[in-house]
Amino acid sequence: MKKILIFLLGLILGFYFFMPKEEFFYLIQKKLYQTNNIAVTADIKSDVFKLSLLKGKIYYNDIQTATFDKAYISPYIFYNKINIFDIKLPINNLNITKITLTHNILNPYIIKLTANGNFAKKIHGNINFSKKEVRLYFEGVKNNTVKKFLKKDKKGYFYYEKF
Amino acid sequence: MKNFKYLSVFIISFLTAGVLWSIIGFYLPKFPLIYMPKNFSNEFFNINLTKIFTAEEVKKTPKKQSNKNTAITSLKNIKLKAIYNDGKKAFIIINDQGKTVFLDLNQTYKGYKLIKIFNNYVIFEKNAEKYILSFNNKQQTKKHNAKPKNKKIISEKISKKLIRKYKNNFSKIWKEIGIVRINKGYKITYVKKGGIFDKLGLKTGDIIIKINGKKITNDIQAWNLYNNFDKYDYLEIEIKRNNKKKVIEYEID
Repeated sequence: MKKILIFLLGLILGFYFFMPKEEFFYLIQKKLYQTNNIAVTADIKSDVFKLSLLKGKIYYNDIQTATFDKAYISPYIFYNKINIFDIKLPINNLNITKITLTHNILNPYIIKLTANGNFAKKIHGNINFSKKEVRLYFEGVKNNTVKKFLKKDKKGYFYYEKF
Repeated sequence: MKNFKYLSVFIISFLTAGVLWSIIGFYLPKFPLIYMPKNFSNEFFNINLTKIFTAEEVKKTPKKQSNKNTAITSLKNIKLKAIYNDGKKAFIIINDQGKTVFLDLNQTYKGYKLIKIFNNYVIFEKNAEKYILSFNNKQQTKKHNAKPKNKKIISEKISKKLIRKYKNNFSKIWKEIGIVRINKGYKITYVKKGGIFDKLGLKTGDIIIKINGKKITNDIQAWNLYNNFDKYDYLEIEIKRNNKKKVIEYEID
């Protein structure tokens, strides 16, 4: 039993240590472009712990829709995390300071999202792949234009979309 | 002895993971996506933000309305920055002398009523006259003609056919040239004698600094250029050879 546990520990650490992070990112990059016409370009750096994307640009249907200063992708296999900093949207004065996306192997179909920006104090919610829905709550919305895209319930303003 | 057994189990499993990844890695792409965005004259475009997480619906572009009987002029000092129109909701963003204003359909701004929103332009109405406001699409392309000073210039001719031949046969390039990335650019570590790159004037030890006036500092830039070499009519490679800067010009036929 002890041998099996040590074997599993070595295997997990090996998976984490040798993971070809850059190559996985290239694969995601290509799939995103082929299936959704979303192109993500950035300077890529990787180390044992994370993959760093610097000065990134996001294009949707060949239109630059957002830029970000840096993004850190930490694939811990059982718990994966993406931090994206200083996102600028192509609408004047709408900036997102930080977005954190987390994925837990215990809830494989759910990606949790938290963010903050100058148009809302806090954004939190999740993307549910089993229900095929996105639900994001916006706390302290400061911008009226953003409100136009949101619905309201007892908890406050929220963004909901089925996909 | 027992501890050694456990250690060997750990090392074997650790290395097994490495071997598995290298097998998986063999099937994964080795290079990033080469993406060259198209140049849009519009600063922003008609983006449906409500469908940001869903597949895009293909919509018919509305036909331009003829306004034969109405006078159409441009609105002064007001610039159209963005148009949002999903068929149900529509609004625009304009810039009035540095001030950003959001306008809904049928909303009035300074006496001008927003009556129509199209993909590339909008129509305002004031005193029964119609005014059109479109994206400012003045774009200037800067032409790089200035020759670098204090640099030796070598001119070469190259055919597009030859470039395409090498572009389509990627592995052939690496039989004739070896390039590694360094801090300042890309260093040529090997050039096959009598090969194409030798004939083109490149030598072992050359450091490629700029191509067509652009600094090459990362793989994405290099790949973008590599994928578009056959689209250029002129190629200018700035290299450092024996600590002296040189420029090799290629005329592409």
